[in-house]
This record gives sequence, structure tokens and C-alpha cells, in this order.
Amino acid sequence: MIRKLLIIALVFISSVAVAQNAAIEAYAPNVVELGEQFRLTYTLTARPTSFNPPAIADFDVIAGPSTSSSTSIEMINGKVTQTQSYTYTYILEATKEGKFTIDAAEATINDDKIKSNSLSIEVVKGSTNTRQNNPQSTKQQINGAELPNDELFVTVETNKKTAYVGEPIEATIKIYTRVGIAGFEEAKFPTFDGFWSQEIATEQNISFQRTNINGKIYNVGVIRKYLLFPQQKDKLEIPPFELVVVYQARTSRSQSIFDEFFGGGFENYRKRLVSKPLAVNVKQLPNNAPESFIGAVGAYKIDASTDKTKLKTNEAVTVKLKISGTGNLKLIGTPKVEFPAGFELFDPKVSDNINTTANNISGAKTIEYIAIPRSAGTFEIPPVEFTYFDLKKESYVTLRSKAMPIEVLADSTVASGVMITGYNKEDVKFIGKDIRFIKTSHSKLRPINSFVVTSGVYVFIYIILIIAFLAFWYLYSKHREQMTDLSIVRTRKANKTAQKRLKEASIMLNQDNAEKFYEEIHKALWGYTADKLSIPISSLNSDRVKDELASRGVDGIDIQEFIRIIDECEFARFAPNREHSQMDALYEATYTLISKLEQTLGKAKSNLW
Amino acid sequence: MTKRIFITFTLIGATLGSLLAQKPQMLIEKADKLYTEGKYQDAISNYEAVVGQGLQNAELYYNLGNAYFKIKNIPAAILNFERAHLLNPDDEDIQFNLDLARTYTVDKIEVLPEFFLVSFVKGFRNWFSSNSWAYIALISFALVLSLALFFWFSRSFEIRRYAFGVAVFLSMIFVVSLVFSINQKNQVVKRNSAIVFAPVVSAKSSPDESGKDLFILHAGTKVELIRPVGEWCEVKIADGNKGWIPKTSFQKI
Repeated sequence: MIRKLLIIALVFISSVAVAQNAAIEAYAPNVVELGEQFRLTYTLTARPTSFNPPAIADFDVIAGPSTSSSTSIEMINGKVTQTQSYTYTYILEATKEGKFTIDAAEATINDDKIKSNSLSIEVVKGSTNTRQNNPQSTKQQINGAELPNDELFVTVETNKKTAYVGEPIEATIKIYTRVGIAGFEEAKFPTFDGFWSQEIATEQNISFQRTNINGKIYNVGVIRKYLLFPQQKDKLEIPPFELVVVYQARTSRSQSIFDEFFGGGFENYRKRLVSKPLAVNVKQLPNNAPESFIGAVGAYKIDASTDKTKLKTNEAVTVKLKISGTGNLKLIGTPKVEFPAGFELFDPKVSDNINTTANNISGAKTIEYIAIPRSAGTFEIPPVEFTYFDLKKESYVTLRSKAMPIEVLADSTVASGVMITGYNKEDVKFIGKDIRFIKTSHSKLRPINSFVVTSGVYVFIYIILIIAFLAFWYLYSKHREQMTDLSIVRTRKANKTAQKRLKEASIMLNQDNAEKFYEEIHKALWGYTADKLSIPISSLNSDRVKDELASRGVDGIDIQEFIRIIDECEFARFAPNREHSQMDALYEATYTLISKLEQTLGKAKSNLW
Repeated sequence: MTKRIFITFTLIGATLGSLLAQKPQMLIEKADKLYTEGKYQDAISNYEAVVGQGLQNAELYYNLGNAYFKIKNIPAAILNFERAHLLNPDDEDIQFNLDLARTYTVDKIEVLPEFFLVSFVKGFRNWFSSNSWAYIALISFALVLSLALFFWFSRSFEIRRYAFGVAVFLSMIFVVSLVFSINQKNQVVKRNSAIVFAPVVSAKSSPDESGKDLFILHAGTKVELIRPVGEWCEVKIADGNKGWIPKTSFQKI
């Protein structure tokens, strides 16, 4: 026992020996059992001129303060460092339950007044076998081969049970023991399926801390620490951690009293420990992620810059995008930088500078986009958008860098004097695929399932059309019938009327009434043609009659005859003194002409529709 | 948090209230504006409000489909593009967006080859919408009637001959366009095709949960509805296979 304490003290002292100048540190276990004796130490880095310990009211001071000092001299490559330490040790006994504070001690070193840390000590009732001066002493009651499970166990603990996808979870693998541990064998660490895990560096040697669980005092050691980033929405299981522990316990064999006196009689035993499986509920990130969201969760800043703003064609320009902050930095993709058309792009170069701290990953990710402008002009690289999910606000935050103007000058070495025509024609490049834009001009909104083809109005228009058609047809044919009747009558009567007029004319001829004679001949011929051709007399003239007669197959000679008679009549009406023989001849000619016309026109009538 | 929810709800309530009171034309203008500003969800609620009033035209469905596409609701986008396509089959933009949206669906179905004459007639029919065909029919009918008058009353043989020829041609056009118009109308009214909305649905051999799974359809696939039985409907996919899927898994075009 004493040996053990001595070793602890020595280890302790040596560990503080490297402390800086003028410091004072207080140390005591943070949990003790009722009635347990424990040590309170103040370690100073130099001999103090005065030391004022605090008043210790809540504990019984069994011994102390006892002082001890140690000096260590180190020589490394001829450089000598000397460290000193002075230790004030109290042995205290807990007499009542509760949480107590021991105030800071004050010391003066080289005229500097320094203060130690204050300590808080929890006194618990302790296990069944109280009045032991060390919780480890319980092992003396336990038969080594049959160690109960609550004396020695391992756990995997997480700092949260629910998390968003990408939200860091701290997982700690701990061992709780109430027996002495000699070593570990065969550790099987959990596979964190569904997580991206990052181990946090812990101390090489496991340092045990006392802790109180349900009134029992355990020594707790952290075996490993991880940062877990859930990768998928689910209830993710963390499989158990398995460890074979070699521990010390009293042998079941009988032992001599000497063994016990010298702290012997202990033997090493092996026990396989399995932690309880653990589940973490992983929540899906909200659905309304902007397009520029590429999986970043945490808190970030971005900074984008170009290495030059003025360059020649075919020279490279680098856009440097720095994403810094805390979160799942390693899992962030590369944000898209929209270079203007005419820039040839190369794969971005990504470099990480990441520190893993106790509860998160922080650092910066630098992405360098290299592009080469192939044509001259003034361009602008549009702002780079970066969206991350802010865990505190529980919403997406979009960051936008500044737009970066770039002036590209023509590279004179290439273009000078050489005219490239159609040499490097490019196809129209389809960079993205998207739907076409909405229609902005709207036709009339119609009720659903309303169509012109079955609407009443449509059918009605048809009916109207048919009615109009029938009505027109009926009226027109009626009119036509009337017209036909009239002209037929007139045609039929034409010859008779002409004969009557000719008879009248012959009477006038016998009476030698020249004026009347010509009038009757004129009337007979005009009237006959008008009736035959169904043309009103008012619209008759010699030209029209000529055409009409010709179109009905009347001989040219007859037409000339017709014109001659009409002319003669008209001439005679203004110069009526004519000889009888002339009138007689005219009468004969008229008579012959009418009978000739009657023959031709009468035949032609049948051709009339 | 609760305060925020409360505000959101009152906002939604207020917008809904104002939506009902607004004229459809105003709603569409507003929705177009919201779409342009990138507020697709709001644009959708405005467009849907107009559809909810029982009004429609091809542009409305097209814009609604676009908005759904933007929020990556592909089945709804396809549904609305199909509706727009039915109302206005000759619109190139609608066809383009429909084809593009279809590339986002999971199912790749070998389309059965159509008899060339059928596809030729279909292509011809899709030149115009139902209403346009109806107007063409009406105009050609009126022309046929007037040509008939010419035929009966003209004295000239030439005129009568031409009138007869053109009238016969026009009456053929009249019949064809009337048939096309009614045909297209029936397609819209009968609604015998649908878009699968369920992410995954297995087509069964009988209208029953116990039926054997024949094939699996994913969201966005177009199916032809054949006959409904109870809560199930027999569907035919483009490669000619038939199966029964629940009525809740699709939406009629």
C-alpha cells in the first residue's frame, strides 16, 4: 500500500516538475467515500517565502501539512535545465456527505503572490464496506475469478442522442473500474457504420479519474474518443466495444500471512467486457436546400480571390476559394465556380488544413480552380455561392463571395499577322440542361372540359349556316325561275311582235308615211333583238348587240346587215325624204334578216341552260 | 419557434383568403412574377388556385409544370406538362419540357412500335388543338356550302367544275378536322391515362394485395388506364404490359 502511494507520489511529483515558473497547483480526488482518507497536495514550482493554506473546515485533517521537495536536473545536448518542486501534503478524512469546496491556497514566491486553483470534492456514502481508506480495497473482498459486472465495465457514450446529418457527435469509449487493472488485450473497436469517424487524439496512457456513480466510486479512464459525422438519415446503431481486461484480484488460493502483509496474494485475471449497444437518431436536413448546398454542416466563412486581375490569353488564372470554419469540413464537396464562356477549366486542386478539437473539426479547406482564358475581353467571374446548414439556427445559410473582374488581353505573340479563319470554329456548347421558361402570354382561360366542338354555339353556327344556305338557295332559284319564265315569254313573243311591227310598217309604206315607216322598222328590229337576247331596251346599243349576236352564232354578214338597217333607219328619221323603192327594199331586207335571225337564235335557244 | 409557426400559419391563411377573392387572371400574373423571382412554391399555390377554380388552358398547366419541375417534384411536373400537351399538342416548348422531365424518371420502358400510318395520322392530328380543328371544320363547312351554291347556280361550266372539285376536297377536310377535334376532345375528357405518383408501386396480376407482383413502376411513369375495379385499376404501360395498381398510386392526366 505504502509502496503504491509512494509510487503515485513520485510519479505525480515528476509530472509537475516540468511546470512553469512560479505556479501553484492543488490536487485532491474529486470524489471520495465517507470516512475515506485521502491526500490533498499543493505543488509549487519554487520554494515559497510564505504559504497560506486555506482553512479546511469540512474535512478532518489527520496529518499535515508535510513538506517535501524535489529537484530534477536535465541535461539535453549540454543544456541544463533544473526544475524544483515543493509539495505540501495534507491527509484528510471525509466525515460528512455532500459537496465541498476547498478554497485556493496562497503563496508568495520571489515577492509574487500567487494563488492555487480551488478544489471541489464530493463525498459520497460509498459502498457496503465503508471505513476502508481506499475504494480499491474492495477488491480484497472479491474473489478474483468471479468479478461482478458492475465492478468493471466499458461504455460507449455519446454527447447527444439525436443529431442532424453531418452534425458532429462526440463518442467516448470509457472504462469504469473498481479493481486494479494490469493491462488490456484484444480491443475490438466499434465500426461506426453510417458515420464518418475521426479519432481525437487522447493521452497515450489512460489516466484514471474518480467518479461517483450511484454512490459507488469508480476509476474512469478514457480509452478513445471519436468525432462522428452521421452520413445518412436513420436510427444508426453503434455496435458494442469489446475489450479483454487483465485485472488484479485476490487469489482464491490460500495465502500466507506474509504475502498479505507485503501487498501480495494478488493474481491477474482476464475478463471480456462488452459495452451496451447504442443508437443515435439521425435527422434529415430540411428539404428546402438551395442548389449551392453541397453537404456542409456547421458554421463557415468563405473567401474567394483571384491571383491576378489582368492577364493575357492562354495564361492561367487561379481562383482561390477558402472555406473556413467548424463542421464536417472534410466532407464538403467543391462548390461550383461559374467561369465565363471561353475559359478552359482544369480540375480544381483541394487542400485541407484541419484540426480536430475536442468537440468539433475546425480549419480551412482551400480549393484552387485553374482556368485559362482562350479569348480576350473583360470578363467577370460571378460570385461563388456556398450554402451550409447552420446547426444553431437550424436553417440553411448561403454565403456569396464578391464578383471577380478579369481583364484578358489578347496575346500578341500568337495573333500577330496570322489570320485564322474558321480554323477553330466551335460547336454551340450546351452547358446546362433546363426546362424552357414559362409562358408569359396567356390565352383565354376556359372552364375544364369545355370545347368548342361540343359547345352549343358551335352547333348553332352550323345550323345557321345550313339555314342561310337553304334560304339563299330557295330564294335564288325562285328568282331565277321567274327570270327564266319572263325571258322565255319574251323570246317566244319576239317574232310575233316583230311581225306585227313589220305589218304596221308595210301599211305606212303603202301610205307613203316615211317617218312612221322608219320608226316602225327601227322598233321592230330593236324590239326583236331585245326580246330575243333578254336584254332590256334601255341598255341596248349597237356594240352590245353586235357582241351578243356574234356570241350566239349569228353570221357576220347578218350582223352587218343588222347594223346597216339600224343605221339607215336612224339616218332616215332625221332626213325623211326617201324614195318609195328604197323603203321597199329596206322592208324586204328587214323581213329577211328577222327570219334569218329567228332561225339562228331559235336554234341557239336550246343551248341556253 | 411557436411564434414563427403561428406567423407562418396566419400568412398562409391570409394568402389563401386573398387568393379566393382574386381574379384568375390576376392570380396567373402574380404567379408568373413569383416564378420569375424563384419563389416556386408560392407560384404553385397561385397556379393551383386557378386550376381549383375549374379554369384551364395550356399555358397555365405548362407554367405549373415548370414550377413543379423547379422544386424537383417530377411526377407533378410531368402530369401538368401532359395536361398542357393534351390541350395544345403542337406547342414545341411543352413537348420539350415534357421530354426533359421524362428523362428524370426512373422507369425506362421500351415503347411498342406504332404502325407508321397510325403515328402519321396522330402526328397530323396533333398539328392543332381540338378548338383549332373545330374552327377549321367550321370554315371549311361554310366554304363547302358557298361552293355548292356556285355549283348549282353558275352558268359557266368551268366555274361549276372547279367549284365541285374544291367542294369535295373541302368537305373531306371538314370531316377530317371534325373527327380530329372530337377525338382530341375525347382524349382530354375521357382521361384514360395517368402518371404514377407513388415513389415505387408494384403492378399485381389481380386487383388484390395478394396478387403476384408482375413489374415495378416508379414515380413519373405514364400509364394507360384500362378498367377500374374497386380500389384498383388495370393499367397498361408503353411496352404493352398490363397489371393492377392501387388507385391511390397515380393521378389522372
